[in-house]
Amino acid sequence: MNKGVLIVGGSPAGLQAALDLADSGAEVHLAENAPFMGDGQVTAMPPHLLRVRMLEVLKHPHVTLWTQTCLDRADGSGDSFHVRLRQQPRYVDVNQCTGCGDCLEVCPVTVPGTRHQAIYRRDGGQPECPVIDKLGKAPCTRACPAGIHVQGYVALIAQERFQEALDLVREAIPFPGICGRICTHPCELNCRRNEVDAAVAMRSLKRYLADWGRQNAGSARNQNPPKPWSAEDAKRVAVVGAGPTGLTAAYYLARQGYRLTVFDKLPVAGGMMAVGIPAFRLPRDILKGEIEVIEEMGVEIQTGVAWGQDITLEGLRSNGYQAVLLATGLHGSRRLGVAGEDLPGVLDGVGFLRDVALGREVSLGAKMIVVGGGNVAIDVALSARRLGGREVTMVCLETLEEMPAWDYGIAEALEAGIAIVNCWGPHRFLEKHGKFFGLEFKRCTCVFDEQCRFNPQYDENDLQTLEADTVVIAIGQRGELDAVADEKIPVLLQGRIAVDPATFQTSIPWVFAGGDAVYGPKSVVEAIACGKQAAASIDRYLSGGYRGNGRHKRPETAETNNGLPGAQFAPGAAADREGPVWRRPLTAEELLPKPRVPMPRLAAAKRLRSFSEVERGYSEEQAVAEARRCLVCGPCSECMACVDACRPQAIIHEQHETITDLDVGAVIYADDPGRGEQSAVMPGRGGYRVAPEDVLQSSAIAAQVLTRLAAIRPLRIPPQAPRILDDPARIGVLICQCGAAIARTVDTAEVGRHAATLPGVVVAQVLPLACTGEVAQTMGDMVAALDLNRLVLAACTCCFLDQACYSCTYQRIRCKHNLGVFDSQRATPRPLHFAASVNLPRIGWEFVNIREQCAWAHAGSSQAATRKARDLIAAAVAKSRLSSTRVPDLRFPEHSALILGGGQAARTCGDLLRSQNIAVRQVGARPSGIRRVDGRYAVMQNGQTWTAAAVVLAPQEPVELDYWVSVLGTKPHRTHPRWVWGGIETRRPGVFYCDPTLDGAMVGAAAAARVSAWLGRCARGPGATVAVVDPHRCRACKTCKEICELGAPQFVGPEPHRSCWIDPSICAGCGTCAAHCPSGAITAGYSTDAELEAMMAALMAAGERHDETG
Amino acid sequence: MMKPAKVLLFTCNWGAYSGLETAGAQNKSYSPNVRPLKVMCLGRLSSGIILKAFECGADGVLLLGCPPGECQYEFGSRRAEEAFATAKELTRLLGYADERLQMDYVAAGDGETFALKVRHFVAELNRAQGG
Repeated sequence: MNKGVLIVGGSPAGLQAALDLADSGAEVHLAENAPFMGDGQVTAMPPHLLRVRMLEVLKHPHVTLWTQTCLDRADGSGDSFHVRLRQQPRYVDVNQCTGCGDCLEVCPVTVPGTRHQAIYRRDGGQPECPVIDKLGKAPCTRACPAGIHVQGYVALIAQERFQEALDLVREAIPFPGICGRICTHPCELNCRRNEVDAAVAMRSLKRYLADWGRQNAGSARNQNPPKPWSAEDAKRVAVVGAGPTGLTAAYYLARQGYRLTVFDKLPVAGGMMAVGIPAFRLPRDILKGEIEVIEEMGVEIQTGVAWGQDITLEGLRSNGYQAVLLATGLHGSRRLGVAGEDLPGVLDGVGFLRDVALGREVSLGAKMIVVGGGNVAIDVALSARRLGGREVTMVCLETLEEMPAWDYGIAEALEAGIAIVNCWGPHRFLEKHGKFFGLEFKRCTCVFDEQCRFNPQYDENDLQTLEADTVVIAIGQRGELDAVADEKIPVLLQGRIAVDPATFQTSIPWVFAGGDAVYGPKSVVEAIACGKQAAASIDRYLSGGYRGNGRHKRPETAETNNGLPGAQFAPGAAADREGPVWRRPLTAEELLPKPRVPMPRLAAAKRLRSFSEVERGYSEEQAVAEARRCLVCGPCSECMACVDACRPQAIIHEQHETITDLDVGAVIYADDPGRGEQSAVMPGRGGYRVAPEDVLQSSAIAAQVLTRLAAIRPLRIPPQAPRILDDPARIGVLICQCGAAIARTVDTAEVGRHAATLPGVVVAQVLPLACTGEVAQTMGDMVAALDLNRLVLAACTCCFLDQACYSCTYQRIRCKHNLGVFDSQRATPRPLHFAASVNLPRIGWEFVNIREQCAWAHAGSSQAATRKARDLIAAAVAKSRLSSTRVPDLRFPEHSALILGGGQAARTCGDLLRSQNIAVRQVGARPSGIRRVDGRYAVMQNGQTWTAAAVVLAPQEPVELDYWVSVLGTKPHRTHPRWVWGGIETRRPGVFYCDPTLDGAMVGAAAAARVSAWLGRCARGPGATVAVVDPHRCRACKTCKEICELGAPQFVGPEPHRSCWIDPSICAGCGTCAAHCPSGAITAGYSTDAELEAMMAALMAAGERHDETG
Repeated sequence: MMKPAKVLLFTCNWGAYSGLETAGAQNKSYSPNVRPLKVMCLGRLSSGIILKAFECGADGVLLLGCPPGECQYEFGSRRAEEAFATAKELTRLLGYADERLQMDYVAAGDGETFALKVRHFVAELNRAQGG
């Protein structure tokens, strides 16, 4: 069993410890607080070397990287720690992201106080996949019952991207123009700008979008066409009630492919939107236009059809409807229950507005009383003024402040000359000649009780009388439930249809109900929200399974644990989300007041002449200026522009924080102490701390941890089997479009056509994205089907080597892994893990980079880039044809080390190595020579020779440089002990130098870790670049031995047949020996002379042809 | 019209190749007739291979490696200089203009310098060829 080690902090010290431990065979978890390693850390290590370290960690099969992860707690028990990791979501799938940067182009949000956008990445930070800066949902978005991404459309308007903004709103609701006018805007009530001055006018901005859409109808319609009509055999759903709930449900069900019929007993569609909201608030053409969009999707609307009279449930059922949604609304008025209420001249508010809306005759008289203080009462009063009512008085129980109507509604009423009389309640109706004549009121002393419930108290002795021709009672709505009762659907006490609150199902399974008839009088936006939920529920009922009702939502199962078997969805994470958004301190600039752009309105004098709309809407300049007041709470606005831009579909906005519990044998804290969370690790048994820059100390700790975990069996990675390549070459050429990053400039189809004509090429295929796991599987199938033995991939990846170079990237490593070029497979899925790779052991690989070298370098010239890509591929194909099986001769010796010296460093190093079962021999500190012989180091001293796989030089006194030069090499320019970034490496691989001026225990321990890591790396087998000697051609001239200062060439075999053998453990793959071998016996690992010549010929000959053709 | 010069560009896998990649990533352009060929280290190149490039039809051959003292393999660039000196000697004997064969270096990640040096080489080469 392998307990593993947790390292906190992707600092140079953390990386060093991770590599030392992992190479030694320990399982390492590296937790980095930031989204990127190397982010926010100032280090002396040159960036290209740091990058190589980070990439080595990323590709190491024994290291698991946890980004955006903090150590919640670490409980020590016995020999192990129980640690809890809390990982924040990245919102970008690192296994899909190609790093193309398209998302960065479209993000409309700049995060306050920073220079980055809401989706961003860091230069030099690894992995190079962007991260979304999202503290949570913005308060406005959170508040919207219909789920509109409010901050998103505001952010897009601020960038004048109106079409995208409108599409975003339309994604969530079918009625942008209606909601833009009459929504109760919970978004604005929750706006953080209220802390500074006044909320952003989000409702008016939405209206601007709808108006913009109407003005640009031609283009808008083309870009967002309604879906085609559903198939003839689609399942049929009936909706009773063409109000906002019914129409919304119909809209979303039609989008899912159902056939919808909406019935309404009124002569017009729209429900309360048509007969409850006066035209001066919601012009009828706006309403009609948005209902038409729904009809264009194939929804049939039948008006003048009353449920209970013209249609019944049974009848619908027999006509083939498989589900019904009852959204009948509340079209009756509540009654006062006061004597005289039935007199002629006493009207009800809902009926009055309906009659006005339908153009029916309404006799008002000159003087009118409106009883009620809500929005309906205001609309009744304002309508009455427009219909010629000269003297309109509103009487309500509440004080002016308590009135439930909107402030701007009350202001409008006062501007229209309507008198508002507060704190009076109707006592009795007065009659004269059998007709209403006046109303007697009693004083209302108090409307609400201590629990804030509606419980009016009156002073029965304080009465006053108002005379009028008519009175309208606008104190609330009620349902008309005769049909419901006839159909035997249970009804609650308050007169609402009883439904399952989760599914909106009534007691009859195929009958659903929603809207005001279910939950009482609420706003249009609530009705839309209910319609969406009911539609999702009906879809679930009819399709028999879960289906998300928004395109951006992914199924619950995938998001709860982000695909990790061990991780849990953090409890309460969703609720916590409100916190960080609200806690973000506003910058000084943000706190400066920016007044809200006032809504242009029709002049008060003109309003009463007609029912034309009062609010005139923002101009483009006003809308953009108003949108720019947004405080960017998210900061991600969830405008979803990145989702649309991302071709590999790597962006997942619905991710959650996860918690993972691990048992580890030790915890190393290598983060900057300033970055918090240090309290979680207490130094002591198995807990260590190291300064983020101190790579030597971190190796010393790694050695102690290895001793601590000595009981574990190291995870040795088996050497990779050599690739056996058959002849003749059957080559497949794969050309990656990299989303659009390559295809934008390089004509990939043309490149493919050309590649197919090259000798040896069996097939050439263009791929949308080469670096995803799915594509790798497809390639595997292609290899099998066409019996290919070599593949050339033209993408962004540039070599087939198992090494991290200065120019490598996370995506390239992932691509190579997916294609089975090398194995980085973790035993269990991890947050940053590669998908399963295809196993193609008999495939020779060549990679060509046509992204950086063609598409991006020659972005200005598509023709030149395409031509160059063709030639580079031709060269790779030429090389691939010549490539053959090469098996390096690996002779790996036993795990052993020689320690030269006798001081503290030598003692510590020896003890720690012995505890790892590495054979150690300690000899005097001044050998006469160190040579590489037969795959081992041979140390000569006092006429004796000792051999071991690794050597540690640990002198007690400083030793002059010249001495080391003579010991490790022969010529003055040769090897010297040097301080590389690891601190103790010498020029000779596997030989380490403990500087006697440093703390002996520390440097000795560090040397022990490096020795064990080096032995682990040797056991993993040689790299692909190792040079190979043909012993039959070798003349044992020893030129190579002169050339190679690492000591890789060694001479083996008995005289006179001695020949060179290149020690794969030592060979670094530079190929210099091959260039200088006089008999041509050495083949360089990366490309042979013949391969180089073939490539040069292909690159230059191709140029010749182009010159001829022009 | 003058034929555009064909250039074979040898880069080592480290400093110069990283410069080549960075230049691309930063959209720094240079003549598309410069065709790069990567070797692990410039030390891999013998004078014979360098001359072979001319034989294959290159108008110019540019070797780009690591800055002095930063060779990944330490001794590789020293050996490359020897091979380059030999090749230079031979091209001189063959009467090639000095501009046709050059050796230079680029630091890791320095796309700017890479593009500058390649552009400069091509410009000088064209001048020598055209003149």
